[in-house]
Amino acid sequence: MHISEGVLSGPVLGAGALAALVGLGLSLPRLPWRHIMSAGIFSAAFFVASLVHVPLGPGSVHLIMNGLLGAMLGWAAFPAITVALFLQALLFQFGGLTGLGVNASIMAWPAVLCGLLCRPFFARPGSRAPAAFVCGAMSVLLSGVLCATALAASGDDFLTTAWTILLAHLPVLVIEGILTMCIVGYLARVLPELVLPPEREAAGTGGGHVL
Amino acid sequence: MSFDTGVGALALPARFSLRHVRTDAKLVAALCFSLAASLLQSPAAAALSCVVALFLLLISGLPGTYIMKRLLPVNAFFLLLWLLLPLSFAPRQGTPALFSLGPFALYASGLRLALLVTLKGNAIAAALLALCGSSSITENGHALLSLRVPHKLVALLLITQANLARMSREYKRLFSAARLRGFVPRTSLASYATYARLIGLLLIRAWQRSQRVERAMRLRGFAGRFPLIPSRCTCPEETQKRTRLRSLALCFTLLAMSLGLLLWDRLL
Repeated sequence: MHISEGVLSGPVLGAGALAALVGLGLSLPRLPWRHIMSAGIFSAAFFVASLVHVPLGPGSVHLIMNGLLGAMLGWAAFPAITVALFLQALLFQFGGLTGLGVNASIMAWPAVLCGLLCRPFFARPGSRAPAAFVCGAMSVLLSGVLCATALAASGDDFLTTAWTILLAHLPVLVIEGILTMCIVGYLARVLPELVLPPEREAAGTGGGHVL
Repeated sequence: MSFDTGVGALALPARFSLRHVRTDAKLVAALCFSLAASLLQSPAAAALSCVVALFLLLISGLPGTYIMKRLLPVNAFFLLLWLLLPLSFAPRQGTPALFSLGPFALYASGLRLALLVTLKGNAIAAALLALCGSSSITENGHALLSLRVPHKLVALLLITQANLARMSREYKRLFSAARLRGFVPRTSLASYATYARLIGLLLIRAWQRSQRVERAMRLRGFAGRFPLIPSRCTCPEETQKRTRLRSLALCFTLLAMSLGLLLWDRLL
């Protein structure tokens, strides 16, 4: 899902950085200081989950889990994803400083949007499974579309690459949908407060959600 | 898998290396160089930026095998680009193709772009490895703070990094427990359901831990904001002065080099 450094053109890098700054500006005030520890621990857990390789035919794909992250953390998913990408740049040299804005926007905006849209439907057992599937699949689809758009906007020569990346996302999308559905179903049985919509919204808990 | 940069908490080497330079200066230098390199448009200038990055790697004080291990995976993506960029499914007007077969055609502009992108990408990755990889994540976090990055974001970064190794260990334990009970990963719904449960369990462990830590911190009067103590303030005055000078010198040299590269690129 990362776009490596050196690939994108200047205007695309600038637009991505701007979108990421807007996202951070909107999300950071919604993450209260007293929940910073939980957000960090969850962010670490999702970082590890995104390193998991799931078998697919003869090969394997690694998970992204941005839909589930958005559903569980709400707006806090934005800084969590930005931080995870920065760590990946420092630890594995995937992505870098100039592409951080674009990559964060590609992953985090779909996470936040899908999470906020789908989480209310987790409350009723009937709509839980389809909503969770849509949450997982849609966030990957949106990320794939954004990723392909960023590439295509950087030059005509990238069109073939953009289409290939979009097509490569299709199997991942199904797997992410299935896994998100299973995880939400499992958590709803074992620890409902993690995935069900918060009832204490009125108590002023900021974004609500787990935190 | 280690979840810190190559240096971790190693002692400073006796010979001069980038580890003797302030981390905030290295971050600024890395950002300037990355920006300039990502805007280059001629392969010649991109090759020169590679040379600069190689020099940075040489003085970074990082071991060679470690550098190779880090830079090789970066090139996997570029290999894909070499295959995909020259290829086009629809013939284009105006530009003659190198080779065409039915709807497929190879274009020289794509090959040039693949070369350019590979050079730029390697230069940026190498510079980032040399500059930011020669400080630990904690030092990088403190440097971000002194560069006015929001405190909350830096705190989140440091807490995430501090918990990475623990969460990874937890997942490995859960996974080997599943293996011991006869779980063999396959492309099947049952396999995916097992993975879902493993990740679900990992999230539950994270939740339990976060509740414990949050309560413990509230008990100790945590009211937001961590006092982040820079690790360098224990150095003697003399060393600090030398470090500051070196940092300024590095920053300005790289800034000048980046500007020079950009200028040369535009003139070519």
